[in-house]
Amino acid sequence: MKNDMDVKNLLEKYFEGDTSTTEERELQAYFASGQVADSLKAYIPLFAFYAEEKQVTPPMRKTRTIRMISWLAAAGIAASIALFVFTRTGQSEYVYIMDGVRLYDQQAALATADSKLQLLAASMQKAKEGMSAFDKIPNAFQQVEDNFPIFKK
Amino acid sequence: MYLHVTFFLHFRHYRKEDNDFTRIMDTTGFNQLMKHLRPKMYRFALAFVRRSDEAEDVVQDVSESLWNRRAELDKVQNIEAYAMNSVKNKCLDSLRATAHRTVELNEAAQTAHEQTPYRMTEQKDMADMVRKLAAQLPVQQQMALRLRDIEGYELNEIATIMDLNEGAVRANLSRARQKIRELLMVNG
Repeated sequence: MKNDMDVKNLLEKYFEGDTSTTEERELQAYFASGQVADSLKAYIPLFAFYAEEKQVTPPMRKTRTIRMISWLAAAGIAASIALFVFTRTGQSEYVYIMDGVRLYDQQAALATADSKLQLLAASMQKAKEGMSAFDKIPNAFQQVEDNFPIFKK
Repeated sequence: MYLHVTFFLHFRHYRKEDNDFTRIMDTTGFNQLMKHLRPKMYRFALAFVRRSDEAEDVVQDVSESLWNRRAELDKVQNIEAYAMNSVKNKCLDSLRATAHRTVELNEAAQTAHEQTPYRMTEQKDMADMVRKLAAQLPVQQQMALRLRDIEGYELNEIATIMDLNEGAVRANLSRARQKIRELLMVNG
Protein backbone atom coordinates (compact mmCIF):
# COMPACT_ATOMS: atom_id res chain seq x y z
CA MET A 1 0.00 0.00 0.00
CA LYS A 2 1.12 3.50 -0.77
CA ASN A 3 2.27 5.78 2.04
CA ASP A 4 0.01 8.51 3.37
CA MET A 5 1.70 11.23 1.28
CA ASP A 6 1.08 9.26 -1.91
CA VAL A 7 -2.52 8.81 -0.93
CA LYS A 8 -2.84 12.53 -0.23
CA ASN A 9 -1.49 13.39 -3.69
CA LEU A 10 -3.68 10.78 -5.31
CA LEU A 11 -6.67 12.22 -3.47
CA GLU A 12 -5.97 15.72 -4.84
CA LYS A 13 -5.73 14.24 -8.32
CA TYR A 14 -8.99 12.41 -7.64
CA PHE A 15 -10.89 15.58 -6.76
CA GLU A 16 -9.64 17.19 -9.97
CA GLY A 17 -11.07 14.27 -11.93
CA ASP A 18 -7.62 13.23 -13.16
CA THR A 19 -7.23 9.77 -11.62
CA SER A 20 -7.51 6.56 -13.63
CA THR A 21 -9.95 3.81 -12.65
CA THR A 22 -6.96 1.80 -11.37
CA GLU A 23 -5.83 4.66 -9.12
CA GLU A 24 -9.40 5.07 -7.89
CA ARG A 25 -9.54 1.39 -6.96
CA GLU A 26 -6.33 1.90 -4.95
CA LEU A 27 -7.94 4.81 -3.10
CA GLN A 28 -11.03 2.76 -2.36
CA ALA A 29 -8.90 -0.11 -1.05
CA TYR A 30 -6.95 2.28 1.17
CA PHE A 31 -10.07 3.76 2.77
CA ALA A 32 -11.56 0.30 3.27
CA SER A 33 -8.35 -0.98 4.94
CA GLY A 34 -9.16 0.44 8.37
CA GLN A 35 -5.67 1.99 8.56
CA VAL A 36 -6.43 5.51 7.42
CA ALA A 37 -4.15 8.39 8.47
CA ASP A 38 -5.80 10.84 10.88
CA SER A 39 -5.40 13.69 8.39
CA LEU A 40 -7.43 11.69 5.82
CA LYS A 41 -10.15 10.34 8.11
CA ALA A 42 -12.56 13.04 6.94
CA TYR A 43 -12.79 11.23 3.60
CA ILE A 44 -13.79 7.87 5.03
CA PRO A 45 -17.55 8.64 4.68
CA LEU A 46 -17.14 9.29 0.96
CA PHE A 47 -15.50 5.95 0.28
CA ALA A 48 -17.82 4.20 2.73
CA PHE A 49 -20.69 5.50 0.63
CA TYR A 50 -19.19 4.03 -2.56
CA ALA A 51 -18.48 0.69 -0.88
CA GLU A 52 -22.00 0.50 0.46
CA GLU A 53 -23.65 1.42 -2.82
CA LYS A 54 -21.71 -1.31 -4.62
CA GLN A 55 -23.45 -3.86 -2.42
CA VAL A 56 -26.93 -2.81 -3.51
CA THR A 57 -28.44 -5.60 -5.62
CA PRO A 58 -31.90 -5.99 -7.10
CA PRO A 59 -34.31 -7.96 -4.90
CA MET A 60 -35.03 -11.52 -6.00
CA ARG A 61 -38.75 -10.97 -6.39
CA LYS A 62 -40.10 -10.18 -9.82
CA THR A 63 -42.59 -7.37 -9.46
CA ARG A 64 -44.03 -7.91 -12.91
CA THR A 65 -44.81 -11.53 -12.11
CA ILE A 66 -46.30 -10.59 -8.76
CA ARG A 67 -48.39 -7.94 -10.42
CA MET A 68 -49.55 -10.49 -13.00
CA ILE A 69 -50.48 -12.93 -10.23
CA SER A 70 -52.42 -10.28 -8.31
CA TRP A 71 -54.10 -9.28 -11.55
CA LEU A 72 -55.11 -12.90 -12.12
CA ALA A 73 -56.35 -13.12 -8.54
CA ALA A 74 -58.41 -9.97 -9.06
CA ALA A 75 -59.79 -11.39 -12.30
CA GLY A 76 -60.66 -14.64 -10.51
CA ILE A 77 -62.49 -12.80 -7.74
CA ALA A 78 -64.33 -10.69 -10.33
CA ALA A 79 -65.31 -13.87 -12.21
CA SER A 80 -66.57 -15.48 -9.00
CA ILE A 81 -68.66 -12.41 -8.19
CA ALA A 82 -69.99 -12.31 -11.74
CA LEU A 83 -70.86 -16.01 -11.61
CA PHE A 84 -72.58 -15.58 -8.25
CA VAL A 85 -74.57 -12.57 -9.43
CA PHE A 86 -75.41 -14.35 -12.68
CA THR A 87 -76.72 -17.44 -10.91
CA ARG A 88 -78.68 -15.26 -8.49
CA THR A 89 -80.12 -13.37 -11.42
CA GLY A 90 -80.79 -16.67 -13.16
CA GLN A 91 -82.84 -17.80 -10.18
CA SER A 92 -84.81 -14.62 -10.08
CA GLU A 93 -86.06 -15.36 -13.59
CA TYR A 94 -88.31 -17.87 -11.88
CA VAL A 95 -90.21 -15.90 -9.32
CA TYR A 96 -93.47 -17.54 -8.35
CA ILE A 97 -95.96 -15.76 -6.20
CA MET A 98 -98.17 -18.19 -4.33
CA ASP A 99 -100.80 -16.79 -1.97
CA GLY A 100 -98.74 -13.61 -1.90
CA VAL A 101 -95.59 -15.60 -0.97
CA ARG A 102 -92.53 -15.09 -3.23
CA LEU A 103 -90.91 -18.38 -4.22
CA TYR A 104 -87.54 -18.70 -6.02
CA ASP A 105 -87.37 -22.50 -6.10
CA GLN A 106 -88.97 -23.93 -9.20
CA GLN A 107 -89.58 -27.36 -7.63
CA ALA A 108 -91.21 -25.88 -4.56
CA ALA A 109 -93.30 -23.59 -6.74
CA LEU A 110 -94.51 -26.52 -8.89
CA ALA A 111 -95.31 -28.61 -5.80
CA THR A 112 -97.27 -25.74 -4.31
CA ALA A 113 -99.07 -25.15 -7.57
CA ASP A 114 -99.91 -28.86 -7.85
CA SER A 115 -101.41 -28.99 -4.37
CA LYS A 116 -103.44 -25.88 -5.12
CA LEU A 117 -104.73 -27.46 -8.34
CA GLN A 118 -105.71 -30.65 -6.46
CA LEU A 119 -107.66 -28.57 -3.96
CA LEU A 120 -109.39 -26.86 -6.87
CA ALA A 121 -110.22 -30.23 -8.46
CA ALA A 122 -111.67 -31.50 -5.18
CA SER A 123 -113.85 -28.38 -4.93
CA MET A 124 -115.04 -28.94 -8.48
CA GLN A 125 -115.99 -32.50 -7.61
CA LYS A 126 -118.06 -31.36 -4.62
CA ALA A 127 -119.75 -28.78 -6.79
CA LYS A 128 -120.49 -31.44 -9.38
CA GLU A 129 -122.03 -33.64 -6.70
CA GLY A 130 -124.17 -30.73 -5.52
CA MET A 131 -125.30 -30.16 -9.09
CA SER A 132 -126.65 -33.76 -9.28
CA ALA A 133 -129.81 -32.62 -7.44
CA PHE A 134 -130.87 -30.86 -10.61
CA ASP A 135 -130.97 -34.26 -12.35
CA LYS A 136 -134.04 -35.07 -10.24
CA ILE A 137 -136.06 -32.18 -11.68
CA PRO A 138 -137.23 -33.95 -14.92
CA ASN A 139 -138.16 -36.97 -12.81
CA ALA A 140 -140.26 -34.81 -10.52
CA PHE A 141 -142.09 -33.33 -13.52
CA GLN A 142 -142.82 -36.89 -14.74
CA GLN A 143 -144.29 -37.83 -11.36
CA VAL A 144 -146.54 -34.75 -11.34
CA GLU A 145 -147.71 -35.64 -14.84
CA ASP A 146 -148.46 -39.22 -13.85
CA ASN A 147 -150.37 -38.36 -10.67
CA PHE A 148 -152.23 -35.37 -12.01
CA PRO A 149 -153.41 -36.25 -15.57
CA ILE A 150 -154.92 -32.79 -15.81
CA PHE A 151 -151.39 -31.52 -16.51
CA LYS A 152 -150.89 -34.09 -19.26
CA LYS A 153 -150.06 -32.52 -22.61
CA MET B 1 -39.67 -15.80 -13.31
CA TYR B 2 -41.95 -18.19 -15.14
CA LEU B 3 -43.05 -15.41 -17.47
CA HIS B 4 -39.47 -14.53 -18.38
CA VAL B 5 -38.58 -18.11 -19.15
CA THR B 6 -41.54 -18.59 -21.46
CA PHE B 7 -40.79 -15.26 -23.07
CA PHE B 8 -37.24 -16.26 -23.95
CA LEU B 9 -38.10 -19.79 -25.04
CA HIS B 10 -40.78 -18.48 -27.32
CA PHE B 11 -38.40 -16.14 -29.08
CA ARG B 12 -35.66 -18.72 -29.39
CA HIS B 13 -38.12 -21.10 -30.98
CA TYR B 14 -39.22 -18.38 -33.37
CA ARG B 15 -35.62 -17.72 -34.39
CA LYS B 16 -34.85 -21.37 -34.97
CA GLU B 17 -37.75 -21.56 -37.36
CA ASP B 18 -36.30 -18.59 -39.22
CA ASN B 19 -33.08 -20.59 -39.55
CA ASP B 20 -31.17 -17.35 -39.91
CA PHE B 21 -29.10 -14.80 -37.98
CA THR B 22 -26.45 -17.21 -36.73
CA ARG B 23 -24.49 -14.36 -35.21
CA ILE B 24 -27.42 -13.15 -33.14
CA MET B 25 -26.91 -13.37 -29.41
CA ASP B 26 -28.50 -16.60 -28.17
CA THR B 27 -30.48 -17.08 -24.97
CA THR B 28 -27.47 -18.20 -22.91
CA GLY B 29 -25.33 -15.27 -24.02
CA PHE B 30 -28.14 -12.84 -23.33
CA ASN B 31 -28.78 -14.26 -19.86
CA GLN B 32 -25.08 -14.02 -19.01
CA LEU B 33 -25.01 -10.40 -20.12
CA MET B 34 -28.10 -9.69 -18.02
CA LYS B 35 -26.65 -11.39 -14.95
CA HIS B 36 -23.71 -9.01 -15.13
CA LEU B 37 -25.74 -5.93 -16.11
CA ARG B 38 -28.86 -6.23 -13.98
CA PRO B 39 -27.27 -5.12 -10.65
CA LYS B 40 -25.59 -2.17 -12.36
CA MET B 41 -28.77 -1.07 -14.11
CA TYR B 42 -30.78 -1.50 -10.91
CA ARG B 43 -28.36 0.52 -8.72
CA PHE B 44 -28.16 3.31 -11.26
CA ALA B 45 -31.94 3.45 -11.74
CA LEU B 46 -32.61 3.30 -7.99
CA ALA B 47 -30.56 6.45 -7.43
CA PHE B 48 -32.92 8.42 -9.66
CA VAL B 49 -36.35 6.79 -9.57
CA ARG B 50 -35.94 6.28 -5.80
CA ARG B 51 -38.30 3.36 -5.44
CA SER B 52 -37.20 -0.24 -5.63
CA ASP B 53 -40.19 -1.44 -7.67
CA GLU B 54 -39.84 1.44 -10.14
CA ALA B 55 -36.12 0.70 -10.53
CA GLU B 56 -36.96 -2.94 -11.22
CA ASP B 57 -39.49 -1.86 -13.84
CA VAL B 58 -36.81 0.25 -15.55
CA VAL B 59 -34.42 -2.72 -15.58
CA GLN B 60 -37.15 -4.99 -16.93
CA ASP B 61 -38.15 -2.56 -19.68
CA VAL B 62 -34.55 -2.11 -20.80
CA SER B 63 -33.90 -5.90 -20.70
CA GLU B 64 -36.94 -6.62 -22.85
CA SER B 65 -36.07 -3.90 -25.32
CA LEU B 66 -32.48 -5.23 -25.56
CA TRP B 67 -33.76 -8.73 -26.21
CA ASN B 68 -36.14 -7.52 -28.90
CA ARG B 69 -33.36 -5.60 -30.61
CA ARG B 70 -30.60 -8.18 -30.14
CA ALA B 71 -30.24 -8.55 -33.92
CA GLU B 72 -28.96 -4.97 -34.00
CA LEU B 73 -26.67 -5.36 -30.98
CA ASP B 74 -23.87 -6.75 -33.16
CA LYS B 75 -23.45 -3.29 -34.62
CA VAL B 76 -23.28 -1.68 -31.18
CA GLN B 77 -19.69 -1.09 -30.06
CA ASN B 78 -20.31 -1.29 -26.33
CA ILE B 79 -23.52 -3.13 -25.45
CA GLU B 80 -23.13 -2.39 -21.76
CA ALA B 81 -22.85 1.37 -22.30
CA TYR B 82 -25.74 1.14 -24.76
CA ALA B 83 -27.89 -0.58 -22.09
CA MET B 84 -26.92 1.92 -19.39
CA ASN B 85 -27.75 4.74 -21.81
CA SER B 86 -31.29 3.32 -22.07
CA VAL B 87 -31.49 3.20 -18.27
CA LYS B 88 -30.32 6.82 -18.10
CA ASN B 89 -33.01 7.92 -20.58
CA LYS B 90 -35.73 6.13 -18.65
CA CYS B 91 -34.52 7.69 -15.40
CA LEU B 92 -34.58 11.17 -16.91
CA ASP B 93 -38.14 10.55 -18.17
CA SER B 94 -39.13 9.44 -14.70
CA LEU B 95 -37.45 12.47 -13.09
CA ARG B 96 -39.30 14.83 -15.44
CA ALA B 97 -42.59 13.16 -14.58
CA THR B 98 -41.98 13.47 -10.84
CA ALA B 99 -40.00 16.73 -10.69
CA HIS B 100 -42.53 18.27 -8.32
CA ARG B 101 -42.05 15.49 -5.76
CA THR B 102 -38.29 15.85 -5.19
CA VAL B 103 -38.39 16.28 -1.41
CA GLU B 104 -40.74 13.36 -1.00
CA LEU B 105 -38.51 11.20 -3.21
CA ASN B 106 -35.39 12.00 -1.22
CA GLU B 107 -37.16 10.72 1.87
CA ALA B 108 -38.17 7.57 -0.01
CA ALA B 109 -34.54 7.00 -1.01
CA GLN B 110 -33.53 7.06 2.63
CA THR B 111 -36.16 4.48 3.49
CA ALA B 112 -35.07 2.24 0.62
CA HIS B 113 -31.46 2.30 1.80
CA GLU B 114 -32.35 1.59 5.40
CA GLN B 115 -33.75 -1.74 4.24
CA THR B 116 -30.39 -2.87 2.80
CA PRO B 117 -29.34 -5.79 5.00
CA TYR B 118 -25.55 -5.86 4.60
CA ARG B 119 -24.60 -2.55 6.14
CA MET B 120 -22.12 -2.16 8.90
CA THR B 121 -23.58 -0.08 11.72
CA GLU B 122 -20.43 1.98 12.14
CA GLN B 123 -20.43 3.07 8.50
CA LYS B 124 -24.17 3.63 8.39
CA ASP B 125 -24.29 7.25 9.55
CA MET B 126 -21.19 8.29 7.58
CA ALA B 127 -22.35 6.79 4.31
CA ASP B 128 -25.85 8.20 4.83
CA MET B 129 -24.41 11.67 5.24
CA VAL B 130 -22.63 11.46 1.86
CA ARG B 131 -25.73 9.91 0.28
CA LYS B 132 -27.73 12.95 1.35
CA LEU B 133 -25.05 15.33 0.06
CA ALA B 134 -24.84 13.48 -3.26
CA ALA B 135 -28.63 13.60 -3.67
CA GLN B 136 -28.46 17.41 -3.56
CA LEU B 137 -26.12 17.61 -6.57
CA PRO B 138 -27.40 18.38 -10.09
CA VAL B 139 -28.57 15.20 -11.83
CA GLN B 140 -25.74 15.21 -14.42
CA GLN B 141 -23.15 15.40 -11.64
CA GLN B 142 -24.83 12.63 -9.68
CA MET B 143 -24.88 10.43 -12.75
CA ALA B 144 -21.22 11.02 -13.58
CA LEU B 145 -20.23 10.33 -9.97
CA ARG B 146 -22.21 7.11 -9.72
CA LEU B 147 -21.11 5.76 -13.09
CA ARG B 148 -17.47 6.36 -12.23
CA ASP B 149 -17.04 5.84 -8.49
CA ILE B 150 -19.66 3.15 -7.94
CA GLU B 151 -19.84 1.34 -11.30
CA GLY B 152 -16.23 2.00 -12.33
CA TYR B 153 -16.81 2.98 -15.98
CA GLU B 154 -14.16 4.68 -18.11
CA LEU B 155 -14.78 8.28 -19.19
CA ASN B 156 -15.53 7.31 -22.80
CA GLU B 157 -18.13 4.80 -21.58
CA ILE B 158 -19.74 7.41 -19.33
CA ALA B 159 -19.76 9.79 -22.30
CA THR B 160 -21.75 7.20 -24.30
CA ILE B 161 -24.11 6.52 -21.40
CA MET B 162 -24.78 10.19 -20.71
CA ASP B 163 -24.80 11.41 -24.33
CA LEU B 164 -22.03 13.92 -23.51
CA ASN B 165 -18.44 14.36 -24.67
CA GLU B 166 -15.60 13.20 -22.42
CA GLY B 167 -14.69 16.77 -21.44
CA ALA B 168 -18.19 17.41 -20.15
CA VAL B 169 -18.14 14.11 -18.25
CA ARG B 170 -14.84 14.98 -16.59
CA ALA B 171 -16.17 18.44 -15.64
CA ASN B 172 -19.34 16.96 -14.11
CA LEU B 173 -17.32 14.33 -12.27
CA SER B 174 -14.78 16.71 -10.72
CA ARG B 175 -17.50 19.22 -9.78
CA ALA B 176 -19.46 16.47 -8.05
CA ARG B 177 -16.42 15.25 -6.13
CA GLN B 178 -15.33 18.74 -5.13
CA LYS B 179 -18.80 19.72 -4.00
CA ILE B 180 -19.04 16.67 -1.77
CA ARG B 181 -15.56 17.41 -0.43
CA GLU B 182 -16.61 20.96 0.51
CA LEU B 183 -19.78 19.75 2.20
CA LEU B 184 -17.82 17.04 4.04
CA MET B 185 -15.38 19.64 5.36
CA VAL B 186 -18.26 21.83 6.55
CA ASN B 187 -20.24 18.98 8.13
CA GLY B 188 -17.24 17.00 9.36
